[in-house]
Amino acid sequence: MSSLQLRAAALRASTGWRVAPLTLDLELGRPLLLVGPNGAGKSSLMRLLLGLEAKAEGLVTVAGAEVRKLPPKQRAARLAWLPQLSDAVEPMRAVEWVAAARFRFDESPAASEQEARAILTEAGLGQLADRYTDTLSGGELQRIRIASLTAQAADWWCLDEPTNHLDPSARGAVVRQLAAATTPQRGLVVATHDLTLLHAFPEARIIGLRQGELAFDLACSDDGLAAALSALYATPVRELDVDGRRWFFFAGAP
Amino acid sequence: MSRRALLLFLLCCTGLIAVAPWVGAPLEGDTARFILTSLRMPRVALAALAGASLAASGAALQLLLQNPLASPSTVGTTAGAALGALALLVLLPAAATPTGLVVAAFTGAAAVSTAITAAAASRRLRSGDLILVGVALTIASGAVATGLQLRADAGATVAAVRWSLGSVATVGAAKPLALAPIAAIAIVWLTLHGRALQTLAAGPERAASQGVDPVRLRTEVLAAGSLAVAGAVAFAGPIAFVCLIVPHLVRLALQPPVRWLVPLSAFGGAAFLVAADAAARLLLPEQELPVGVLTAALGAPTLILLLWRNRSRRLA
Repeated sequence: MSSLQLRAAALRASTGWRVAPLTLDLELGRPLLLVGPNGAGKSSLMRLLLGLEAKAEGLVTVAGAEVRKLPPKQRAARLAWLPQLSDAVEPMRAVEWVAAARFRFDESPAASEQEARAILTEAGLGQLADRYTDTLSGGELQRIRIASLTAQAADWWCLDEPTNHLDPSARGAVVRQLAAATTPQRGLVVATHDLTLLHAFPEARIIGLRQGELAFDLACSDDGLAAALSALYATPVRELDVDGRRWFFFAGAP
Repeated sequence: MSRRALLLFLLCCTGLIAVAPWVGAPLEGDTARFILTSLRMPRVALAALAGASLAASGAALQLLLQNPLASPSTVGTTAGAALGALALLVLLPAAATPTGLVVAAFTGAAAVSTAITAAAASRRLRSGDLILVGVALTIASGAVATGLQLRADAGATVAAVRWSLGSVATVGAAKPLALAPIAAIAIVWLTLHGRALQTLAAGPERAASQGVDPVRLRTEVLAAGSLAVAGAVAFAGPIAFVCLIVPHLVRLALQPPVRWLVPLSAFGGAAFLVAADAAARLLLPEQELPVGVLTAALGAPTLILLLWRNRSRRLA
């Protein structure tokens, strides 16, 4: 099993911690949602997990191997990352963009592109394959970006704010794409402010971070989750049962 | 990019290079053979090799630094190479052999590339600031170069100024033959990084998590790019703007896959510089108009146009 383990993993800032020493065991198949206000350390924790922080302290291992010491292509087979949406400088077709995520594979560029095209078609995005990424809407681009995670075919997917700046319909499409990607063989780590995401992952583990420290570690089904979220964001959070699913949302002024 | 467009592009480039030796004053009389084989053919070969080297390094630098305005002439690599070569020409004229010039130009280019990489690696600088750093480095290199020229005697100063305009005038095959292996190694080396550069272009932040070793990629691309620029500058002087414009022209003309941008820019650069040199010969047939003057005259407005387009796109 490609389990992900943190042992006193930490990241220091000039004053205090960006991520205070954290010990966690994560298993494939159960999504992890990282929540917390801006600057709580969600993105930093994700970079720690991915082995991208040169000054990380403690230990992060995936399938027993220390993440930071893995050769880049082997690490890419274990962990894939989708940072927040940023502007692409180089104009590129969507299929080329997805094929770029297959860099870790020992295959020809033509084979990568063929695979990328198949993945896009499978995800219902075949008609966008030859469009340039700077001509796509935010929602289309984000779905293409998630398809690039499928192309990388890593055990763990780490996504940073995947539903930011999306309208409700695009957000719905992204959430469905992520829910479909949740299999027993895949680990999903999602950093988000978007509490409406929670309804799609009823089995998820929710970790709250505040100023780099662990605020809570609960299951999505725990009764105390709304109260814990309210305290974390210093804003009232309510929950609502819709067709047997728990929806959480901010309600009321802080 | 369609196969037809690619084929047409390659045919145009090779056709231009093949025809270029016959462009200019008519070849007549006893000297015709000498002019063709010892002057024009080597000149065209030198222009093609220098143009290919400069354009390939420009394309690679744009992809590496994720900045459409990056090129050896805007981030200061060309100025660094020129300063290295000029220092050798003025301070140690005895050591200014072809090998000596390449080594000196490479040292200058590599020093500037390292400074630019350090600036690019710093998260404090935005992508656009790199060009400002490049401008600062170019001005600083220019100031040192002027200082060097003041130290030299009048003859050396004139020679240095002439050289600094960039020219592909040459007699015999020695220069193109010396540049050919350097250009070939550098261009092939850059082309081999096409896939990694494509992955980097798809998401500079993500590339490391997708299996790209960013430090190795950066080091190798900058080393190969510096080698390409050093070779071109050592044998043809600091020819401006080819490295900046050609990759954009190739993008506009072909919209190629990112991993092909470097080799296609090399082709385009070879044809562009050969054409610019032929045009210089046609414009002033009685004089030797340095090709660098013509590429700068074409390049400056193109740069302004690109800046304008870039700005309008951001404001849109």
